[in-house]
Amino acid sequence: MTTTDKLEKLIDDLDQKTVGSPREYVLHLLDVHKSYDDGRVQVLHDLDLKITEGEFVTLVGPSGCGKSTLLRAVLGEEDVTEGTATIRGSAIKTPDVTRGIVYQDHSLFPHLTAWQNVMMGPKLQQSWWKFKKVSEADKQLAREYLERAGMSEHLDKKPYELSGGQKQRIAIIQALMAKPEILLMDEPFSALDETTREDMQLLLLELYEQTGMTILFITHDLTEALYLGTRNIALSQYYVDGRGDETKGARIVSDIRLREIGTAISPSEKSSPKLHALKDKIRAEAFDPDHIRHAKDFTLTHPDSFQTLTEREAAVV
Amino acid sequence: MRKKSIFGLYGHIKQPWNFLLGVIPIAFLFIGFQVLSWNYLADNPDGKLFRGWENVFAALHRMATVKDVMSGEYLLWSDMFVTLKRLLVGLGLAVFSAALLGVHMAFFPWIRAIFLPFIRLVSNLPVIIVISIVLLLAGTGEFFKVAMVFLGTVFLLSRDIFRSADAVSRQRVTKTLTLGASPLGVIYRVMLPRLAPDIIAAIRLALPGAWIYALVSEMTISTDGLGYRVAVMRRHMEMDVIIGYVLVVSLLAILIDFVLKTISEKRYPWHNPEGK
Repeated sequence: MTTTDKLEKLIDDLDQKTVGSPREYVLHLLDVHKSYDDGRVQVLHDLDLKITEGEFVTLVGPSGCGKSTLLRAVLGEEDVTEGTATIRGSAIKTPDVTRGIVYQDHSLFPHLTAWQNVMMGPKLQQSWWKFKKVSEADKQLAREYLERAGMSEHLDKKPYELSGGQKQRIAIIQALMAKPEILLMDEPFSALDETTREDMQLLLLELYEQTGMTILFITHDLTEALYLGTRNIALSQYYVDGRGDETKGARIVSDIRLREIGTAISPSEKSSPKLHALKDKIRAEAFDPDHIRHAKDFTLTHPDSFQTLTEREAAVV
Repeated sequence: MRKKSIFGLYGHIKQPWNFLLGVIPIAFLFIGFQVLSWNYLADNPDGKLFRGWENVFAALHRMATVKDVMSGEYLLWSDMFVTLKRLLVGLGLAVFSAALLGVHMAFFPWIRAIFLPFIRLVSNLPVIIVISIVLLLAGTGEFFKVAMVFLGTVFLLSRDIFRSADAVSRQRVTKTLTLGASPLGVIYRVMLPRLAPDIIAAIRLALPGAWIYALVSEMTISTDGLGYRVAVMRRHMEMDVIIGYVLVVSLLAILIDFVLKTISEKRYPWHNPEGK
């Protein structure tokens, strides 16, 4: 390696460490590309995403657009091919306590009771010899969450004795108890029936209000995304490359701030005609293949678009 | 309304018929032996091969209650004790090693890359074929017998435990890390307790093999043990004792399996198919 090469490498390394990774962003993706098979299969293309503390970001996109790949990259299960991914300015390496995760499949530990599952985070964060010891403050916090979730009666039950909704309640509280910087949720309610799903959405909004937790919520359900988030991001499956050709690879095509942080919306707003209008706009402009094919730049990033459409007082950015 | 046939795919057999049907083959074996013995003794009144259950139980009673002149021990109990000791020590060491190896292979790709091809290769090898080599290397003492039980079970156990650990979803591993566990904490604080019923299931599958290798090693070279006694009695044509020892070994094997099954069901109720 020549001196010039070494110098370039050093500059590259410095860039990787310093460019666009300030600590005020809880999650920061910068020019992220992800491809497989030596670049022949491109999944993520040129993704830029900054999530600040307290945002409830919902991410929607059609099936196969790369949502799960993005999640794995944020979790640190897979490295990005190009670009940088940071949590509070530190490069993402492997899954750790800075990112909590709630999956569609609850993934609770079957050999532990609901209470033991909830206390798993505080226990695992203790050293070996203090494994059994958990602080009173953590116990009190867990009791509060469980009370709010209506799970106080089920603490001694194992996951197989709980319903799907109850398991998912425990999974959310389990993740919160580990006190992550950001809570990642991968279609957590999509396997639940309609009524349970609505209950869970309300519970999540309540917990979000209580904790002010930063959340990245991945879903394929646009209604759910717009209902829950303070900010909605839509991923497209395609982008137009430099020659004007449509190429596979997810990129952000819409980034809308929906309401002030911590402003809960009522369940009746889910069926608001204006919300439907916004959904139609996102579907037409972000997901419609014809639109994507002909548009030069899909990024909506209109903080005002929701306001214009809904004229809601709550939708102030 | 027409009932479903008990011979069909949706047949339901109620108690006590379910129990009685299960007893038929065992009763057939016991009655068959008795009938065979009667016919045999009718033709050979002094014969030593098939002398009926009465003589089998008398022989067992003698072995359990009359001290041996040479050793001064009650042979049935001393044989049972030494064989169980060899079996449990060999199997215990195998379970310990296999649990560590199997779980580490499942969660660390580099350990899997090194060991899995080897485990796959040797777990298909009937260890009985290397008995002479083990004998030469381990000597003729206790170490040889324990080594045979260990070698006869450790590779199968490793493979089975690896399979169970590998079936744990990657999501659970990621989740455990996000809850604050270290990579080793994932294994020792979460996954090993989670895999305990799978390990018990693997031990139950390995038990017949462990018995075989314990008994074969005793038959090959030993001065005590259930296998040794059967080999000695064969030379003296003491079929009553041999059949009695077969009964004892069968009962011990069933008892150990029953204890493991009960532990698994009582302690890990979530591990049954409905619980999963």
